Amino acid sequence: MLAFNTFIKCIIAYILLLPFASADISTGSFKEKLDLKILPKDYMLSSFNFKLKSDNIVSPRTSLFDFKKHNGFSRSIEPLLTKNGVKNLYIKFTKGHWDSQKWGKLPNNGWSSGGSGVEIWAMMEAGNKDEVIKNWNILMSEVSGIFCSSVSFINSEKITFINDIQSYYDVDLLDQIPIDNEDNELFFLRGSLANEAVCTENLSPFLRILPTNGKTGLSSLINGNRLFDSYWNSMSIDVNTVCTDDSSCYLDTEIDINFVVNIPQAIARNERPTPKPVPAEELQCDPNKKLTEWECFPLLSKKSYSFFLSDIFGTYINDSNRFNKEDVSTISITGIDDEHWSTGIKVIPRGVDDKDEIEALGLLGTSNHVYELKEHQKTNYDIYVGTTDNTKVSLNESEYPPIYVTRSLTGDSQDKGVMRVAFTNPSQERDITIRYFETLPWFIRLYVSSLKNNVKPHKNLDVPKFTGDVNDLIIKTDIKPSIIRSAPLHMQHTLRIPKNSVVMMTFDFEKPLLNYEEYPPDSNHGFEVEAAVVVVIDEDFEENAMNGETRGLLKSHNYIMRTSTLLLTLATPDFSMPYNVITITSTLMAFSFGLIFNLLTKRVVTFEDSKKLVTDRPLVRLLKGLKIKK
Amino acid sequence: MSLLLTLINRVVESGLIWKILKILPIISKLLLVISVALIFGIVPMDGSFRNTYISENALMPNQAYSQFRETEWNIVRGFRNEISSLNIWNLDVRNRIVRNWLDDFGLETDLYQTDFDSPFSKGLKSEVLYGVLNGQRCDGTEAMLIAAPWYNSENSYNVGGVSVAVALTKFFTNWPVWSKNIILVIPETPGVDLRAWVESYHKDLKITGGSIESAMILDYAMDSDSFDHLDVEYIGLNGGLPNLDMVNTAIHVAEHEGVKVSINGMHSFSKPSHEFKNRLEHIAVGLQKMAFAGLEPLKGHEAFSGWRIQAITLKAVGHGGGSDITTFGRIPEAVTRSVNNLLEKFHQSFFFYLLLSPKLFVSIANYIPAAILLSVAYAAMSIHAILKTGLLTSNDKFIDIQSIEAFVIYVVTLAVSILYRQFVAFIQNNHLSTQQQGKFILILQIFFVFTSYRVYVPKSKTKSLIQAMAFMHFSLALTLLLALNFGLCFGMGVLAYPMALAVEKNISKLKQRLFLLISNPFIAIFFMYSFTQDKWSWNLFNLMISSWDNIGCWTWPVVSSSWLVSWILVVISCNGEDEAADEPKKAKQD
Repeated sequence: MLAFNTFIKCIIAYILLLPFASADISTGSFKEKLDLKILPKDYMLSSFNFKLKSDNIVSPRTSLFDFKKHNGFSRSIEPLLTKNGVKNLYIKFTKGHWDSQKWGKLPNNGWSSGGSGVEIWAMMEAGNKDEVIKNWNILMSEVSGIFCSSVSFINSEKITFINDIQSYYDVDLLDQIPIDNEDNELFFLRGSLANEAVCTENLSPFLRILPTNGKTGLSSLINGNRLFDSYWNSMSIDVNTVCTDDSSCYLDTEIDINFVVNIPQAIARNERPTPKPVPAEELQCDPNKKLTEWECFPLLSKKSYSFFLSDIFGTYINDSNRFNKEDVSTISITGIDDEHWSTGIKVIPRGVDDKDEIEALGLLGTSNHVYELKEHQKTNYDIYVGTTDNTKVSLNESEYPPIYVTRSLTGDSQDKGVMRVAFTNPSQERDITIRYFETLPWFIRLYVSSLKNNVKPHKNLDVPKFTGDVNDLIIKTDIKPSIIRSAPLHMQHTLRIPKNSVVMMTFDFEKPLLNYEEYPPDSNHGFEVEAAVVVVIDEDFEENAMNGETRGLLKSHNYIMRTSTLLLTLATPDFSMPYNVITITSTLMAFSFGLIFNLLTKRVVTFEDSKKLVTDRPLVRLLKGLKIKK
Repeated sequence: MSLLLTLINRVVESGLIWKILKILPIISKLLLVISVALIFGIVPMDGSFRNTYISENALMPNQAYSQFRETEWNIVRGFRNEISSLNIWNLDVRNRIVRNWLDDFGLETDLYQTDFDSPFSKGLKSEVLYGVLNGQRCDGTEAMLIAAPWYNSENSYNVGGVSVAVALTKFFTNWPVWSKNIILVIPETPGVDLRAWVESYHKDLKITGGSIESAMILDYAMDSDSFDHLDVEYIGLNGGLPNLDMVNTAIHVAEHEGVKVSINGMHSFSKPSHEFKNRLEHIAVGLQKMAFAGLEPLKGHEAFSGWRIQAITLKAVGHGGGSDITTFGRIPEAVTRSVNNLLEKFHQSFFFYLLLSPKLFVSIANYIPAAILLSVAYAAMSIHAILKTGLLTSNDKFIDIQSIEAFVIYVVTLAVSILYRQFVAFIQNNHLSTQQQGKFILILQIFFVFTSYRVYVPKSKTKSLIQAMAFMHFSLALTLLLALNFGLCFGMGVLAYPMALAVEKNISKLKQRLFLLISNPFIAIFFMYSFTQDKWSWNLFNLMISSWDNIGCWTWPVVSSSWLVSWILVVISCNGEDEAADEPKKAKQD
């Protein structure tokens, strides 16, 4: 009864307060856009970008939702930050392999995706490191609750404190971050988890955060079936606390959802959910090769096709973003030329559901391939993309990644291994400087001293080969050794990669034996080792940034990427073995006990004496007596 | 305890131990007989083998419908027409054309240049085409491999194999299910260049796709649309076998597709497994393949031994039989899909086994006793020789000039045996043909047996010590080898046994020399190998060394550091003076 009363009181209070609250002009906003980038070899990158801004928090101390009505900014975010002294929080879920040879640079210069699995960065305020770790652990359990993931496993065994913040964060924005207590410091932490299986339940929380809830606007396109049936996908949320002056602060949130699909495969998947062989009449054969009813050389390269976005996503765009009156949702298609590619938008008025009717609707095209969703009534939209020659897609010079990195484990033995990282600078003109940021679990006992470098030319070209001392290429090294069972090995090498060359670093490491309970349930799978981070740094920019001359432009200057994860095989016991071991040890112990016990208690006699003694035994005498009696 | 004590007392009383020690040579012979009987008599007998089964639940072979059929057939033929016409071109032209296709499918491709420089394969240059298909649900940590050499082990143009491999890869690109990368490798031959590629993959290859879980080599070296039966080859180098689950999966899948299956090229399908004779034949051939792996023409799967990769060769045999080329393609398709299901590495089933038919096997526990008995047989001979020295029973000093002599001979022999490789290389540099080299080495052995007594005749104690060391050395070597390469261990143990007969008392000189000759490692292996290959193989010794150099096949080092050492020592000891006839008897009286 009491609870009910309180509830009624709350409602009354809310209704009374409502007019005052709404009188307060909301400064929050929500923007959305979709970027479709056609990549070579029929791949398409879909980049959804949502920008959310909260209302002003009067002071960083007060909570955002104390007095205001829901303004579209998710309520779950703010307590996550304020409770644990978190100022900025970046969470990135990524799955798959980004083929940079084919697809070029990562979207958004790599800043909106992480290593395979889940990766979390946080800027936290605290008095000391212990406090940070304590807060981090609380933060992780909350994040794992909200995002339905197992990030709570990112504990002190996996986290790293970042030294050269300027490479990963706009240092000139640091003064925008409010500090609650003057004695406290800001810490920048990173942790990741490689074996996180990213799936639909991780996506739903992302859509929940959006005010459109995944129901209207561009977000209505996103569904788990499509997103996770892709070659590469990444979901990231960046939350920043920004204070313009002492009194007005707000939370700035950006959600990026990127994924790559293969267009013909995605279309074929609609027609044939299982990839059965195509029917004979749909075979695309090369007419220049021998072609009969039973012989077909598949048509390679040049093909023509067209598709609607709904063919790939399985749904139309349902209405537009009506949340933000000043902004419209936009869709742009990039990476194509006008000669061989055409695009258009189809506006499907409300009430038109018939398939033929929809098909009959006309297309509207624009010359810059940018479409705005701005119908006044509720409408569905669909986007058309068609090509006459699908090979006419190429990356610009600026879209090629400045670096390729491969990292692998070699060596086959159960106790030792070699880690090999190769950095390739494909550029013919300039050297690059990179930061190679590595966090290895404690069970890779890496010998930092075993580092070997070598340089090979990338391609045999006329460019002069690198001739200097290989060890001069390492500009700076930071190493924090691992602590067994409690802290990872962290090392950061700042390297110079000469033009047109491959710098290969190798490290030897030792594989220890783990404790019985430290093996994961699927121990014969091997241990996933988290991806390393590589940042190609723009040195001039970083210098200026330290002097505070730039504002938040880091992401367009530094290119960040992750290597692939590794699979480490450690000696894995046969888990039925303990039983055998227990039996054998027990037997041995019983045996040796018996032996020693015998030695201690028995007399040593000669062979003849023993015979006599045996005959003197009471039992033998008794038997003898019996025999005699008979 | 009392009972045991009584028993021991009785044994001591009756002098049983001395009796046993006296008949050690007979016991040794008995052990040999039991060992051979165990393998060829007991193991193939009903009750000692089991039906194969899929141990890893995740594999689920044939649980899904294979799709490599219908219009895929047209595509296979389309590729086959092209590949068939490529036959006239050089390797690099062929590779470049196929590479273009693979690039178009969306694979990441590269060419790997192999270049050997060893005295036994000078300037062997080749090029391996390979490509990685990034699995849609894969993070790049694991891979499955399909290889199709341009020319197969019999040096015929593998037109069907390459076509199926290429068409299958194209077919695989449409599948969204891959949780492991798929690697396609097209080497010129299934031998050294494939091995070099695998080695490089684990060292410094440009494109890698994660740790390779399984490998299948497709061999369909004919132009015909259909084939008679499938042959599964699985025995790797140095006694390495793929996990039984992998072999089972392939056999299971093939039988499900209605293909006749044979293992080790034995036409198993025509040999009903309920007959003892057929099971025996399978064991014998299996052991022979295991012992000679790396010396016989390489099928392809041998290239993957030593990296925990489960590799098998699928070979289509016979023109125009009941199964067609897409059926051949459906087998790797289904196996790949099975392996793709695996979350953990292959670990459930057996790694040491003998197959008695495609669907019957014995695990290591049933056959390893044979090898243990063999090594005990040699140990018995060694103990017998030690007793002959009288060192155990008399109070003579152990270290005297004769025992030092024996040790020096042992060390020198060991060094000579290990350096034998240099000797063979030296012969080779003298412009002899491989045939002449082979003959020269064999003649040298005969020469050594019949003339060595002119150089050095050991005294009786030295003689016995040398003998003891020879047999102990061999026994230990066999013990080391028995679990690793059962075939080689068993073969060596049996073939070298005449050595033990040669040291018997009162044996005629001629008989002794004859026993020594037939137990010579070179002669024995040469005759055995020529017998199994059905032709005189004079190049065997070069082959042994080059396969050690190029593909890491142990046979040469194992033979030269164990059998050869013991054999030389036994020959030297046989040259020795006869001992004072009844030394052990005297000792007993003491």
